[in-house]
Amino acid sequence: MKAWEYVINTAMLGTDKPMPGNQNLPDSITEIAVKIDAIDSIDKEAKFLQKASVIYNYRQCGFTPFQKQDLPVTIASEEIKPYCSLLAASVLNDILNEDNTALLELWMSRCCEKGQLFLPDALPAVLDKAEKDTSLRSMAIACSGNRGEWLSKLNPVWGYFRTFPDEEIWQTGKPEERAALLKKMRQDDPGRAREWLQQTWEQETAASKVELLKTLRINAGTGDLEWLESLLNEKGQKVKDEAIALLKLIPGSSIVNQYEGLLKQSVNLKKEKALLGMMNKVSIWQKLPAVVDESIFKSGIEKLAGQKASITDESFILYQLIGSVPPSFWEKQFECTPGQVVEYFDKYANDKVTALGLAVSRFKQKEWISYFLEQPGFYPDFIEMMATVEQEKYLTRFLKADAQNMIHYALRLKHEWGLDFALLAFREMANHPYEYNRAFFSKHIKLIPVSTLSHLEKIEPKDANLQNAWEKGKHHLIKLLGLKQQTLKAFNA
Amino acid sequence: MQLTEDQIYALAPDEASKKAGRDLATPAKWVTKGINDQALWGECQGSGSKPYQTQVDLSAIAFKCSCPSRKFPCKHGLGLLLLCARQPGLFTNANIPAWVSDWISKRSEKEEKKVEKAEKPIDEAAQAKRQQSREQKVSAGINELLIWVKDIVRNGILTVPEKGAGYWDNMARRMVDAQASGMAAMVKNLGATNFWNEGWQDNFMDKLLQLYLVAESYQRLPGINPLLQQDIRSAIGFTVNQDELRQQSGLTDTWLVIGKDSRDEQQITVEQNWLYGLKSNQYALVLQFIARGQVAQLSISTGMYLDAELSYFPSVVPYRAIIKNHVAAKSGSAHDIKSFNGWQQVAIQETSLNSRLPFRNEMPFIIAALKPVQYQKQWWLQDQEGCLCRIASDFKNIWQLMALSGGEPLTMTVIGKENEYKPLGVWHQNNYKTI
Repeated sequence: MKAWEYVINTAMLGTDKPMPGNQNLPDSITEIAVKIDAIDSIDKEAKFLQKASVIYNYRQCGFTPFQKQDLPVTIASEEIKPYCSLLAASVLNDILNEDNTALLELWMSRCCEKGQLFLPDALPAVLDKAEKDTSLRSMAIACSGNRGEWLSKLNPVWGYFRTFPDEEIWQTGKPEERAALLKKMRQDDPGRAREWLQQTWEQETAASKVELLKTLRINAGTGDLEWLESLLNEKGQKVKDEAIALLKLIPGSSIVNQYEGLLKQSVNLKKEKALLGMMNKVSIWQKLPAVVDESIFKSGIEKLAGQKASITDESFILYQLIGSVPPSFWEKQFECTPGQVVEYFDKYANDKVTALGLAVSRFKQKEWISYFLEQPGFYPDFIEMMATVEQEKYLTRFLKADAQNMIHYALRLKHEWGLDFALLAFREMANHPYEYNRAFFSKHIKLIPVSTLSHLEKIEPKDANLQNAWEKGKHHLIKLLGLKQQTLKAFNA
Repeated sequence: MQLTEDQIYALAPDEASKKAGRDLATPAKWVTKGINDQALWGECQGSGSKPYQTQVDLSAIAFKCSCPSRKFPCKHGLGLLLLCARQPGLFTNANIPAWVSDWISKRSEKEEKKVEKAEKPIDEAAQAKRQQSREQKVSAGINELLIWVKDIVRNGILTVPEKGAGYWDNMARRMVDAQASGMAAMVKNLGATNFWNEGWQDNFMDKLLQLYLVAESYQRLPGINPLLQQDIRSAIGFTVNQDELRQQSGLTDTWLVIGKDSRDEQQITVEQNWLYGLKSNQYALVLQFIARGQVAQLSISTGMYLDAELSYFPSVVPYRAIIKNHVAAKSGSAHDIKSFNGWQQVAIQETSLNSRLPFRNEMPFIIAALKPVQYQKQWWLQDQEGCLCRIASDFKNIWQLMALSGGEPLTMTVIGKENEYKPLGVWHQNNYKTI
């Protein structure tokens, strides 16, 4: 608008400078401007301010909206799935206000299970959360419906709605996306994942080779052997080290075979007659051959136990070797059942029982676990391989002696804790309220069962000085459990 | 009256109260609870041995609680309302306890007393003297202000961004001394122009010319129509006697609270409530000034419907009003609204308003079928005719608006002027929602 430009330009330079005339003003303004200029009693500043005021109101009164008909506008498709109930929406609101990712995950998983959507009001908040926390994304996409998908196309920050074919991610994705894809493929089809990696292997950098090779730890098996063996000739030391680490996980690999060969010569079960042939005397004979192939020490077996170690170097080497071969090796070596193997080690080579236990974990030989359950040693990796019921039983056995560690391992469980285990854990937690604080409960609320709500009030720390700190955490936990209860109720109604 | 959760949260004095209220909205916290047509009450077990007695007057939304909190409403009041909104089935229509009925009856008595309160005799001569003295002070102040304004335009506004805070503060203080608080606020606002923004000159000149218009008009009061005189005096900072305003007959209607905003100004919370009269098709701004630690007289939140009588302050564009009396009303629907049909109609209305009052502030409008669209990396509101007005750049909830719209047009309440507006709320599935 030219008249307003006249005001701004004059004001910028000041009325002390020569001012433009009225000729460029609209006719209706010019008429008034001429009258103002004709007043002799006022100074030039007042004249400008009066004319500017007229133009200001002329502009205000003459405002016309800008028109644009052909703007490309898209509309969100109608939803096929139903929206969640108002009660569920209100709980979601509370969870978002509480800023609790674990509860949000639970809420969305329930919403997904019911095939429902959250209300459009919550879309920006939930999509923002999922943008920051990748674990929420798939559920956020499922629960936000067509409107969420439509909205994501308008805001580049929510671009995670756009999914690419696996091939495209593998060829053009970011390093972490490629590694994540390979991990996923290793779960479902390990062979195919390996083939993909083999195809692009030559183009990968040394760093990405190491990272991608690490994904092969998932479901590492005999199918991988041939290729992994060939990687022992790689130039990069880190790549070679990772290949060796992988080969050490696969029974039948050259390294494992080498270890087995050495153990065949070094560890034997000796059965002798004693007491004039009336009794059998059994022992485990352990002795390394005089000359040991030096290459085993290049594959990760340490030669020296260390100056302060209570065992000899030879015993230390044997310990490492026993931990690096599949436990099933001993069935053949000792010609006995797994139960007997554990028993013999327990009786005659007790310092090697834990090595045998580690081998069970390393080679994931689940069937051997039961023979170790009564052993005094705790094997954290067993938990993952156990049945749900057994996991808590196993942790409970060690809970009193080593509560903090057992709780740490219990946090890795994939299922919600049972009431009994949770209450036992709470009794221990109450004595360490600074460790098991509000942030801890916020993070792990998914594991804590709602049924503990009615028992929580009775749980107190042994030391009265810790009462206040524990109370704070406890009240927070009660609040979170309340939200969890409401979530479950909202979707069960 | 049934409030929605959003409406209850809008009553909270701060974020901490919202959070605390939310935590109390569980049945386990309440030892007793009850409801009838007039009141909602409950006893909340706090840290003390005796539970806190919390009560809410449902007819005019007022709170009372025996807790020591200085916040108003306290977390117990909010928690009780939230629990009732979420699980109304838990509240039995029980016999009203004595502590609730006493309070309710005292409230009604107080209301009656207020009406009956005899006015103190006024010393009219002294009042006139005070008035004359003030007007002299204001005139002197305005004269100085006009010289200051002329200095600005004489030297040019190019160097204005370089002026320090003292430049604006000194003149604002001078206006306070001159008992022209309205002008002081306008001067401060002028100094608060964002000089980093591209095109700050437009914004600055708008404010400067408004200031000039008011100041210049004050010097010519006698020749101006009486209602416009009142507008000018109000802009200067002269107050209107609200008791006198209450005596006048007001506009009775069912009012929808279309927006609410609070800001802190020197230890005082200024609360703006925008209302829309369903039958009268009138808009109103009800201001509430709450000093720290004091209780707000009015507890209303966006989306509430009130059966109320409003008295407008005298003006050529009646807008600011006081609520003489009100009771909560049943929710209405979007069909009750006589909205503008597009930006052209708004422009016609704006022209009419500006021609009557050139220095008016932003006002709300309810406009049908607006959809948020993106054009040239900016957000706009487009009407059915394809006309566009910009969404104010300080509007933070564009994605919430988009989520509610889904690309479809919505009936929307906006506040602004000329071609820039800020959405206040929308009708979504026949419910009014704030954004």
